[in-house]
Amino acid sequence: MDLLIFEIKNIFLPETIIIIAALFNILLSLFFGKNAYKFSERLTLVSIIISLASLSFGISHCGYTIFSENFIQTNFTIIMKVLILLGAIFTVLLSQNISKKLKNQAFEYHSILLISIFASMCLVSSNDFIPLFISLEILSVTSSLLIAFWNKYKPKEAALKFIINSAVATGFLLLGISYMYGISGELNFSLLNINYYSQDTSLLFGISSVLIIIGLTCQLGCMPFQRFVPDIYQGSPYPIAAYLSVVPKLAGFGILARIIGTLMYDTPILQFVISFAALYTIAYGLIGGIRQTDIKRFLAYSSVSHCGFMLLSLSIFSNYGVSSFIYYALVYLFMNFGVWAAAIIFVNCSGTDNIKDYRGIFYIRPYYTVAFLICLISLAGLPPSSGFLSKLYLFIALTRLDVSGLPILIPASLLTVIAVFLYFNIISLMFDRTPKNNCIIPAQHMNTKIVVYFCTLMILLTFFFANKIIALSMFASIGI
Amino acid sequence: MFDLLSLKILIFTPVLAAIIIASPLFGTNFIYIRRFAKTCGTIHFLYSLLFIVFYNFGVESFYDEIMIFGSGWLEKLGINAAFGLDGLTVLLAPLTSFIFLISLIVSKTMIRTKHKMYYSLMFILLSTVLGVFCSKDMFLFLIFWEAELIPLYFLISEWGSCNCKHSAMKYLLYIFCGSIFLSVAMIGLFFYGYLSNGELSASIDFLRVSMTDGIFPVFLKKLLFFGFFTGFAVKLPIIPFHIWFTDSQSDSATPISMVLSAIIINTGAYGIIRFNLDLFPELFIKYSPFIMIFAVINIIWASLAAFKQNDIKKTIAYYSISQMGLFLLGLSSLNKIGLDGAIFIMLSHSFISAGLFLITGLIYQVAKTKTLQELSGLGEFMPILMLFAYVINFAAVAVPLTIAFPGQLLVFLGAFSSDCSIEPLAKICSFIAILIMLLAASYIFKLFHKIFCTSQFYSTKKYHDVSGHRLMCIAVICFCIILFGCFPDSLMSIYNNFTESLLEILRV
Amino acid sequence: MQFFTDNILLIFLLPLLTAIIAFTAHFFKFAISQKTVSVISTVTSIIGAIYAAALYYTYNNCNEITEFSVGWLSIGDLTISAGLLLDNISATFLLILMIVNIIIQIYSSQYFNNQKNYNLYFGYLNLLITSITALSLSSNLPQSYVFLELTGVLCYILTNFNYEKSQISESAKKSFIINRIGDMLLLSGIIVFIYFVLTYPISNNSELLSYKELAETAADFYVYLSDINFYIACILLFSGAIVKSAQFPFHIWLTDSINGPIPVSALIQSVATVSAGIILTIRLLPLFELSEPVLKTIIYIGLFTSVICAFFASGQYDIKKMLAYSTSSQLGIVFPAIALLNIKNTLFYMSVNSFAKVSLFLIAGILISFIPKSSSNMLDMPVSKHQYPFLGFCYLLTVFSLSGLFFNGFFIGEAILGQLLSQNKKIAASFYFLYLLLTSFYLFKSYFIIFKKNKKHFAEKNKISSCLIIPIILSIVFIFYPVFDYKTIILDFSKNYEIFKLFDIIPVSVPISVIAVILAYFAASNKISAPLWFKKLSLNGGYISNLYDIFIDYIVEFFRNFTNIIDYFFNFTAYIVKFFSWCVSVSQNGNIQTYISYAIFSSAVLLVLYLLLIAGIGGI
Repeated sequence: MDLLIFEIKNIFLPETIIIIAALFNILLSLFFGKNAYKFSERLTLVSIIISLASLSFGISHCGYTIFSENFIQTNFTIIMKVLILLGAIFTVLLSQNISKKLKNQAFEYHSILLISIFASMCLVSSNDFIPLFISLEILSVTSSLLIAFWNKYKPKEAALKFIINSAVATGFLLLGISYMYGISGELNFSLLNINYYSQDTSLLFGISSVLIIIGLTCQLGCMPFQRFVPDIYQGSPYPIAAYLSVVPKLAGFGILARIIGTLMYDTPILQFVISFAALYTIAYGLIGGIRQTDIKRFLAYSSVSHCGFMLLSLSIFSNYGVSSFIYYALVYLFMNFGVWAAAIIFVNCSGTDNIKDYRGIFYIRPYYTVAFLICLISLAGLPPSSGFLSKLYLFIALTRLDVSGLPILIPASLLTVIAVFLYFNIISLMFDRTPKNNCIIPAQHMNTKIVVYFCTLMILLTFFFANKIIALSMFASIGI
Repeated sequence: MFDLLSLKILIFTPVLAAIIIASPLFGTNFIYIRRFAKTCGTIHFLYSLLFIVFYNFGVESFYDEIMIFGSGWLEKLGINAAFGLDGLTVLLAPLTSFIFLISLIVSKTMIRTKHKMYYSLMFILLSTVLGVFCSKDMFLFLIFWEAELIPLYFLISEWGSCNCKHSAMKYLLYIFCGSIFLSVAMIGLFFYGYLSNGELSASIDFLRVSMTDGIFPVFLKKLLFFGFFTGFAVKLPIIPFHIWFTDSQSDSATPISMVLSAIIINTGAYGIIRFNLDLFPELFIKYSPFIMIFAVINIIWASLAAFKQNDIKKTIAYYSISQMGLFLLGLSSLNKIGLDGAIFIMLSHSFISAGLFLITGLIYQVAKTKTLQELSGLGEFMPILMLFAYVINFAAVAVPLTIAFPGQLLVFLGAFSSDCSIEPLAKICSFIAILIMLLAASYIFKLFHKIFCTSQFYSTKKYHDVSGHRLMCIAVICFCIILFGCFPDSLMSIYNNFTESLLEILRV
Repeated sequence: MQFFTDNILLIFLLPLLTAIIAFTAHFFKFAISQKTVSVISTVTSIIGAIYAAALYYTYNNCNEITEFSVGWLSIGDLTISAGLLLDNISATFLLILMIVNIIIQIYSSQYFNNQKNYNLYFGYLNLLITSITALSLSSNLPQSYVFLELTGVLCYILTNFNYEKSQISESAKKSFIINRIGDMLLLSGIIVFIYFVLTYPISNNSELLSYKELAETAADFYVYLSDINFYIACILLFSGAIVKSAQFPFHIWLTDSINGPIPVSALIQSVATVSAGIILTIRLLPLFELSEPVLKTIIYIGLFTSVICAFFASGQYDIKKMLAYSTSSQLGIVFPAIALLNIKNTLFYMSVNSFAKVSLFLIAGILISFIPKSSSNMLDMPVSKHQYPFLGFCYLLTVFSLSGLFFNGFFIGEAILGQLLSQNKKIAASFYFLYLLLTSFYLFKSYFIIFKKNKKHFAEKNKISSCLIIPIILSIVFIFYPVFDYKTIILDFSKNYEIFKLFDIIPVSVPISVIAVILAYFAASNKISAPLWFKKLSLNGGYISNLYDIFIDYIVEFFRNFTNIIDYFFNFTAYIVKFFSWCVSVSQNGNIQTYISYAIFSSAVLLVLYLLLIAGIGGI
């Protein structure tokens, strides 16, 4: 019993706080009337911040496995949890408008959100295929519920697509896990690592690892399942789309990094297969994004291409790869939330999703456009923003160990040219002299404005003070 | 007394000025903004002149590093923000701030809208260009190289004429492709620097050392050399990649096209010297015949292309391309005379193209048209401008006692006496290159006579002659052209030991 | 005399100073009236002339050379230096230049009296004078190249002075571009020689290609270089002189530069071209003398130009065009004179030619001012001998001296002829005879046409202002100056060529000229006329000038559509990217079953890729 209390107190505390908050939210929905959404919002925010603080307890207990080695706590998982919670805070701030409309349903909305955050934190720190599978399922179910929260046709259709997509993906995942179990008889990562690391990996082991990776890409929106992403994001409401584009992806990449780190880190062939998938996703995301006129689909394609880059960083089976992934994930978090928050502000004021309506907003709201501009520039990967530095660090990590990384480096860097063209189309629109709509951005969007300006500030800060962050990511990537 | 001369101040004060201008402190009263910008420009120019003065008094070369929280900027990745000035850049930095000052002053009447945004972008551009010249670290060079894109993109697209958005996008994509080649080559170089002696660092001097004794496979070295060369060839518009240059020149406003042709091309030229010549000497020697052929194609093609252009700015853009062909010719001749000539052309080209674009700007301001057919007979109304046009056109055609002549003479001499591997190639190339004197004369004076001299047969409008601050700018440029034309040794003695150090690298 | 040699710079700075004063007067609209500017410039030119005369006499008998130079441009370890070299050649040039300068200043002060940019003209004029003085005093080849080009540029500016008329500006532009060809060739010659100095251990002193040591360096050149290289290098240098003094292929620019104001074209055709081309060849003579073929080309080019241009001149009706062609033909004769005789005497002949050209142009200026539409066609000049006896007389005098009939023109012609005959160059001698015939023909024809006795429409006799007459008298006086200064020139001249030898040639050359005069008389009253095509050919100068225009237009047209080929390549890549984006948008059609089938297909691709790699790696 005391072991259980010790484990919860030191390692599993953040998750428990989130779950308690989720349950408390549901309970409170019974007592409060119409305009209680403010309270539920504040409650979720406070609980996430407390769990973020409680993460610091676990730092001293790195390497511990809890609940009979089902979950593990390493530096890497702590950082990923920090990122996930940061994403959660941003989502709650962004969904102020939705929760106002949902009135008393806001409690359910926030509780489902909290459950999905709980699932992604468990996914990252899971050390066994069973908890991995369970948290993955909870994550996909809650995400589809969040998408479908809006009683319109489009969100319903998007939620249905999401569920079917994740169902097919879990099919692949289970096939891979069963093969893995068939060979080794183990499901636990550390045991698998001990028994099967040294032996020459049989063909079946390779196939099962490829299948597992394919199964996971559904959450990441990478190669096999990247076609669903634009439709899902277009259907879902803005904050949820923002949330989907960051938090589940970070969790998926976290667990993928840990699987690759523990189970399959010296097979060059697998390395090449993953980088091929990554390059395909980058190309798909960028080339697809050129013809888009809807801001949501455009941002969906751009998030697909960025996930391609993150998968590319993971395809380098080395510490450098993981550390470049961590830095890229951090910058990606801020970039994406910045852009989505700006899009939310624009939609609330002008009501249209069409990119053409962004014409000339610089002359109406200069400071807002400058922030939007910095986010887009960092998405494109141009220097004064940390987007450039993350791509540079990724490319350096690609060629860190041996020169075999060069053939992958050249296509990846050439694709960034299309990225620049993509984002600068919007930027040139924003500065166009003939403003069609003269929308006045209402002041009461305080939360979203905070998110936008905070993200742009963080983008610039992570560029100028990148040394500390890269040192941290290198330290975290060692004990994966 | 030396900490007064810190490079950090030189490079980052313009950014500070840009922030102050962009901040709500100034509001939108453009008179204050303009005055503030001009005072900042003059202070910055005087400050940069200090560097030449101290450089003359024996201060060998300036070095400065930015430390954040006690350690280098990106210590973990081996990149630290180190800035330094040597023989060449001690001249280029003041030249850059001089041209910026002139374009700031001139943009008083040429820029009518969005002053706040314009002046802040100009200052950001100034600091990025200075960053490119002074950066001692490879990746820092790349960062400033690409940071130049955004301000210039907006400067071209916001204040340009007809299809400036299209040409701004073309500029952006061309230069970004070039910088992709650069970044891949730099990463390859960075990797081998680490492999050869274990210590992770991206500073250029360290890499030069590790290049000599490194275990580079020759094939990869060639790949890196070509990566660097194409990256810089796009910026220094070598013929196949020059389209962005002519388009963005003809569509951008005058002060921006002045800056574009006088300064931005120099960064490309500086890059070739700093990376291709410095880091890959034996490959540069091996491929110098091909570079020479590139140079000659550049010269002849640009000159012939300039003949039938009906847009004045395009003709002058082609003129700058042929001048940069001369620079390449001087560089590929691999002897002291050729190198001196190449660097002199780099400096002289900035003054001349700035002057030429200033004149086209003034003409555009008065006659409201850029196409040649509609322009004729301005000489009657603007005799003073015509006189200055005389001086600048003669400088463009490299008449002696103007700034262009020493450069061209040295380059032709260097090319003729260069002992490159294919024996007669150097001599043939220098003889073909001499044709530029004839070709340049014909198309520049065709332009001059069409604009100023033919009789004004239809328009009855009264054009008022150039006066006030515009006259002062043109007079200053002409004064510099004649001053450095009559006393070329004053410039050459400054960058003399730089060329000597280059020669030792080439010889070794 | 020591005073003069010490501050030699004074002669160089005086015109420069007046130029600056004139420019400030023009641009800053000071209270200086036109009168004062012209007075200042004439006074300075007179001082300059006195100075030059003093120098001439100090250096005339002794050929002691004083020279100083200061480093200008460093090439490697050598330096191109800027200096002044004074010896008898440059002293005589200086004297001729300064005297012509006085004549032109006086004439143009009256010619321009009512035009608006009066001071600007005087500014440019004095700048041109400074550059020609610097050219004649320059101490090394690169420096003379610098001032040669500056003279060309300033001649261009002056001919382009009233640029309103498009016909004037077009011809000025063309003359400038053809001058550039000359500069280009000369510069390549200089570069070849500097390259030789750098590669072979020739002269050790730091000043490059200075004229003082040219004799020794030339000898080293000849030793080190193979004949062909030496010949090519010398021809390159000589071609610079050819273009500048308007020899055959490049004589067009002179006929184009006549559209400028009269005093300017007088100055250009008398001193600027002469001093530019001739000084260069004289200074480089020690280099050219070494190889026989170079001398031969000099002689033949000179003679050929003189004949061709004389032929073109004879067909002209425009007095200024005729004078332009006559200048290039007179200069054509000077080149063989330089090659054959010693330089001192060619200078004396050249002075005759310069002063005669000045007087002819000034007279032509007055005649043209009478014609209402101020066209320079000889036929409709309403002037007859009786109305302006003095003009007729001056015109006749200069024509006599130029055509070699009269005293001083006669001497140099005979000397050349004697030299050619003695070296039994038969063809060259026949060329010379043809030249003699044609020159006297077209000169006297022009006299007869203009000053015919019974002109039908008499213009009323308006008074010519004294300022125009004095320069003409001055120039006539200086044409016959060598006759008065009998002792120094003629005696020294006859010493070398055994005076009696001359007299046996006289029966040949004098009758030719007399026949030509008679022919001219009849041609003037068009009793006899050459076949039409012959006249047409000589009228528009053998169609050479429009050959140039066709040539330039053709090249440009060829390259016009060449340049935008590259554009297509880059647009193509953009098109490919757009095509792929279309493919992606088509595959994104919204229904789930396609997505899932694509997903399964691509995961199958991944697996197959993995297996292939395993098999591939495994197989190896």
